[in-house]
Amino acid sequence: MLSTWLLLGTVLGGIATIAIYSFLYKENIFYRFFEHLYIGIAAGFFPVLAFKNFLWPKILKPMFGYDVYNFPDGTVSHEPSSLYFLYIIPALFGLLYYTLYIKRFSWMLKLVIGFSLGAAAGLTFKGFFPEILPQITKSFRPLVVFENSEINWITSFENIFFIFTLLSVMYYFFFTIKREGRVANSFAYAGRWLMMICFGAFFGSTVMARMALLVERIKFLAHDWVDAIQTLIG
Amino acid sequence: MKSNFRANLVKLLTFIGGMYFVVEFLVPLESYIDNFQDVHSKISDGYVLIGTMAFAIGIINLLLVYGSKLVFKRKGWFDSLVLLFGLALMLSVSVLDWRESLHSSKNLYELNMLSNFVETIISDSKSKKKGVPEVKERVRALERAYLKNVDVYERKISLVRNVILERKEDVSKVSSSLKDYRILNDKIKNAFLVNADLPIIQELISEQRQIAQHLFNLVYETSFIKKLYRLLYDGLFVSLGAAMFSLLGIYIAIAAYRAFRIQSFEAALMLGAALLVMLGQISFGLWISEDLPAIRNWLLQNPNSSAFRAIKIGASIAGLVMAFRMWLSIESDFTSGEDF
Repeated sequence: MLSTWLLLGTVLGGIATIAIYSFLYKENIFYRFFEHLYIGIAAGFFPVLAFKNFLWPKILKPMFGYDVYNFPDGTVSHEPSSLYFLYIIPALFGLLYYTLYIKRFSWMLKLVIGFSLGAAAGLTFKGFFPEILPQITKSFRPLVVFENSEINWITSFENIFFIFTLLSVMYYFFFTIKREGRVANSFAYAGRWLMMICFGAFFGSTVMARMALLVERIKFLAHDWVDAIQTLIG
Repeated sequence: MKSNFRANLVKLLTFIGGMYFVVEFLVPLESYIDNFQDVHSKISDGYVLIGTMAFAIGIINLLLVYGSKLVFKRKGWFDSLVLLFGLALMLSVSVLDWRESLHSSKNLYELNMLSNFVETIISDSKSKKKGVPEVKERVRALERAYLKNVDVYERKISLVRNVILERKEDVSKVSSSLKDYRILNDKIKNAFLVNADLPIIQELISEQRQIAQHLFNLVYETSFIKKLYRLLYDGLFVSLGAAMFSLLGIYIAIAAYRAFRIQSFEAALMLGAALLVMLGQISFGLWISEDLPAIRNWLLQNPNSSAFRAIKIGASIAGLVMAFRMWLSIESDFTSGEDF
């Protein structure tokens, strides 16, 4: 037996789902109502989440010493650090985002955007080497694989095919030197075809993921929602 | 002159913004700074804080755009009303729910403190920390504090049962936890009496803390505001999100109808790969051929994975070059315009 709140949630969820699917027929007031409600709810959900999961536990709580326990023997769990007050500097700097609304000071917005862009660039630099270099080295697999002193033809073929695909696709995007000759053009074309297979496989996976969501929603409507409506009607 | 100063200041701050991460990567700071990982996480939090301060911009913009439509009754004013209603409702319910969860964790303060205290006594005695009272003295202080809080918690815990009964919720979950909690009370008192080892006391207090947390959590979970939050989150937010994204599945299929017409050899390759992957994932595919799942896996693990890796390597190298250009402010001159 579903609780009243769960029942209400299921009924509302079903109505919302039907409203969104009604767009398949044409745009209508029912769809627009739930679309705008969704945007409103999402916009109201994330700021509190940022406050609850980041600002409070990581900044404000340690800043004001709310995370310090006073033990019964007169000691404390850890000394509150006044260094946390240094967070006031990035907080005030972050407030420069709001100069957007004051024309006279709006240039200051670019200070904070510039700083964030610089940080993003720094993070890209930092993330490139540990993420991409191992991928490059691991991509160059042995072309001939031996297993029990015999050649494993299947794995060897897969490795050759893997490296051929990798190099030909990269070569297709290599514009530094002009591509000349039949071999070079054929190699680049092979890369293009292999990329098409990659996009097709990628597309197929994406469609299936979305379809799984669609099936889940339809199952929800056909089972949970219909059950909830029947319970409501009695 | 003025505009030059402003532009240079922006460029300088862009450089400083990226400097820390570049230096942190290139210089082994762990060797020079004690506990560097902790310092690094604090500095990273500072960076996140700058971005977090912008959280109200979205709300302000929504209020400006949709609020003005509503006030001046422009076209679509009813949609604006719905959006702002959803925003205000979710904001207020989320804040109230957070307050309720804080209240629930506040109830646990003393037990958390005691649990933390035993852990500290053990770790301090292991590391032979100086400047703290002797272990025996600390254990006596722990015992006194525990016994002082027994009655306070007994009242709090008894209240949980009444609240759950008042809310007409299933009280059976509470009764068994209450019983376990009281058994642990006696066990801990006994452990103090027989001077049991500290790790045993720590384990018992930690177990009791978990039961108390479960009980206070039940009060929180059955509160009106939590139920309202669940209704908005699970009933509307999750359902609407899933419906929106599944709708995309239909549109992707419609787009495929246009894109996948075999007009060229490349389109045929793409269609073939997509069909094999899709058929390999559903039971209908097995009916056609039992090899389809294996073909699908081969496609995903070989051409797909290697071509995708090649694109990723190329894009990452380009991204690195872009990052450098951005960091050194030579990418595009965003320090231009009437303010500069």
